Amino acid sequence: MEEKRIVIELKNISKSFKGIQANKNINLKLYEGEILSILGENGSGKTTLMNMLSGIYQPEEGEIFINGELANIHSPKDSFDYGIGMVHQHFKLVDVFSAYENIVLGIKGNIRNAYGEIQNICDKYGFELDLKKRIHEMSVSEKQTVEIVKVLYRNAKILILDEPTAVLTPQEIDKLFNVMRKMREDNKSIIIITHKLNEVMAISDRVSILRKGEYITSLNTKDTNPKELTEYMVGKKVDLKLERLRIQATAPTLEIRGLHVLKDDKTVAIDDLDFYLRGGQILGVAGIAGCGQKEMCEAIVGLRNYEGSITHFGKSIKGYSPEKIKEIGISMSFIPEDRLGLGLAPNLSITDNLLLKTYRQNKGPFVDRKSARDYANDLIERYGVVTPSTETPVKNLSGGNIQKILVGREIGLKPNVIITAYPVRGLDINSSYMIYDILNEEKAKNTAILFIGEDLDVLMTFCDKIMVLCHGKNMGIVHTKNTNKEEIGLMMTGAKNLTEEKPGKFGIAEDSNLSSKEWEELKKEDVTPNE
Amino acid sequence: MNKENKKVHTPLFTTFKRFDMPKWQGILIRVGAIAISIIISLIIAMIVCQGKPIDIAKFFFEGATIRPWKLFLDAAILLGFGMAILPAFKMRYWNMGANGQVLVGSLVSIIIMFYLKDFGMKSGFNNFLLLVFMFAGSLLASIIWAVIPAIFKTFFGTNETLFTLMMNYIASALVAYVNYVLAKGAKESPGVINMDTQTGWLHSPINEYFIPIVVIILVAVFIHIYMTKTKHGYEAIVLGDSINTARYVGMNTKKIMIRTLILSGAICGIIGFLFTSVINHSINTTTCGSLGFTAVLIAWLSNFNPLIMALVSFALAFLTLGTSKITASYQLGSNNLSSVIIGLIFFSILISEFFIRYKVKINIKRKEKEEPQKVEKVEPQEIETVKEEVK
Repeated sequence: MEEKRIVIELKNISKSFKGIQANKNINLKLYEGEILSILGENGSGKTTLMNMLSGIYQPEEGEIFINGELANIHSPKDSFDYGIGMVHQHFKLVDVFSAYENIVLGIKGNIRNAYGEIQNICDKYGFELDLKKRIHEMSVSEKQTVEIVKVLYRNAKILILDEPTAVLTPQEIDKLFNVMRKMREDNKSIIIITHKLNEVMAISDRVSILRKGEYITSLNTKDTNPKELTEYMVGKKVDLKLERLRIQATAPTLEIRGLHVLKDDKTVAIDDLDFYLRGGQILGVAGIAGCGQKEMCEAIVGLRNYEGSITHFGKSIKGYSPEKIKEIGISMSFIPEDRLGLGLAPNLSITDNLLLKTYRQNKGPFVDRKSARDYANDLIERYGVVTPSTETPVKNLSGGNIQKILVGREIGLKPNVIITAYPVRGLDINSSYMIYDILNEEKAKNTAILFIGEDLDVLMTFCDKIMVLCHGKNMGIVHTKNTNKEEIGLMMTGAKNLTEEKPGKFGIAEDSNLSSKEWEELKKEDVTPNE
Repeated sequence: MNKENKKVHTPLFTTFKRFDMPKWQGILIRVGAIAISIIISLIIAMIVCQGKPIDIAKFFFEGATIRPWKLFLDAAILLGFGMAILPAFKMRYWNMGANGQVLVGSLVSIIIMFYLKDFGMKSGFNNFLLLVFMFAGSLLASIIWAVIPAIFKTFFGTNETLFTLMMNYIASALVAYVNYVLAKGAKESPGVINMDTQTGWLHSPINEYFIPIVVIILVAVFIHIYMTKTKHGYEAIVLGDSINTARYVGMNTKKIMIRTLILSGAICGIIGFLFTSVINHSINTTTCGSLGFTAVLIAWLSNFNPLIMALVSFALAFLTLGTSKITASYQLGSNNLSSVIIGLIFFSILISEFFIRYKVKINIKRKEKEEPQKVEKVEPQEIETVKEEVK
């Protein structure tokens, strides 16, 4: 590598958002004509770092050198001027324009020959692209191609691809990799952000690893292996004083077999998933973001159509309304990235938010706010919610308090199944432990808990078993005491698939509430999914 | 990074959201804004009318108070329009079609009144029955007019603002057509319907405007209770605040949206019926004026609080009547003075709302650093030097 020229060098880059450190003292080098992978878990600061290169954010500390000179990147345009082109995870294209129009959009000067020039770029690198096709008629892969051609047409020497493979099929990924190799031959430098180890191994020359906003190390791909990378990525075991309650688990409460769920765009979210939950047991779900967790949750609580069977104490709940599913004791709380969008109404008071799931219970046309207010006071006291009053809009509360209210409300319903996704998202340690304690209390009451988490350390110490999802597929369900983080990490990235190694072993309870004959019958009823 | 080289874009004004303003201060700012706008209005009126301020003020108050029932009626109708849009707006469904909804309601009851005039006698049971028919027809027509855009929004995701606006135009075209038919093509408008027999006219006790005022007050009380106390109102508010949350707690969002718009439409139907049976006994394309839009402003200014909406409606009716008296007394010929003054007052209230919600900081001190508005004026050579400095 020594003979190669450094095109980008980052020195001690730091950036924080509202007190949360997204990047801390990052040092990174990118050489000419190489493909560098940036590897890290969700929230490890990969995208933030790249957004500083593309001019969307400015670093608080540290320096960026481009071609050996100190660079000031204050806007995406500055970034373009330095020859940096970024392809974002969410495409930035005008839907009703054609590929050609999108590519030349915003270019000042002569574009008379642009059509031919763009065609040349496509031929040179082997892109298959119909320039006259409109964006809204395109597949995801075609849109991505437009984005890449767009930056190439602007003479980008350095390309940043933010999780380009997340939305592609394996065949499309191969095509993309071929194009990337051609670009490398053309002496362009490419940074690819990913958390899939097999792709890192397949495409990159070097790999840099970030963990929790910090730079860990850089390695030559040929000198490393997935296991080593996983260790760097997830880190050594952190000593958490989390308690795993030992409770005699009950018979399966919720059993799910052959679950198929589609995303909004009709692509597959969950593919043939089997699992079950027992009372008094916490099943953790590990998986990179967007590999079907949300759709799975929505299917279970009746918010999304699905194929397959879901039974609750041996009774099929398929076709039940969300209301009915709530009544039989299945509660779901999903903390999205913005923390408020699902489950709480930000402008309404604490009282009104607590009412969301119970307001239908009393008779008559009126909402019973009086008892809700008492309940709010009770909850505020029990969980130590910091708030001026019960009538404060929840958006004015801090994240931890908001989540306490959400989790508290769900537990107040006295559910027998709790499905909770990212309940500690964005919380500090103390608030997180509060939530874990609440969940443990519920576990002690023989409630079945499905815990969808981000932090492997927490999943390992807190859950009884972990189910690993990768692209909507079950990679296996393991007892936390019999596994380690490396194994989970490999399964998350799809490098290890226990269900292929030991088919038929996972997700089917031996003491199922239904006989296999009854399951078969349920399956037959599935032919027409409910509307 | 080298601090001197750092380009800092400092806009001239920075606005911050403020949370700490005490209530009395907010009220004071609002009152002050209205007072200032009234003084400016008075000055404009003096210039336009060439009259003494004392005379102008006298005409103003005389005009507003000489017919108190009319004043209360105007205020009530404004309030009624406000109540019609309130449930939808709370749901963040921007219903701009109150005009059209009232218009079709009024139109259908006009048609019933016209064609069934022989059925209803001037008084007695048959006239009562005719009024019931008119009421039902108006209600139904307005509900249909309000629900059509809601159905399209819930099932096809159309934009309700544009859709309801378009429905206004359709309604007013329908009115023009029906007027043409009723007048048998002789005139543009058939004028007052059943002038001679007064069938289908609703006579109020105490004063001719008594019934509409009372009805609208009852509607306002109902809507207030509906929105703040009932499950339906609660659902609509949750839906407006976060549709995903509503979905996640298991609400049927389509049902809620359509149900709320049925209520909106029903209130428009009531107003339409009152227009036909009590107030106008006739219809034309401008029957609603711009009441539907003024109501939007009233609702926003009052922060959707029915009591404040009533006060604002009253103030607006007061202003309108007062200024039209000024216009008439000085023979200005048109009612534009009234529009100017009302516009001024609205404008000042809006500005005061901005200052109540935001704190504005002016960044003048940072002269040494580059300011974007300065860049525009910089000569080309200067830009070159700036760039060099940066490097």
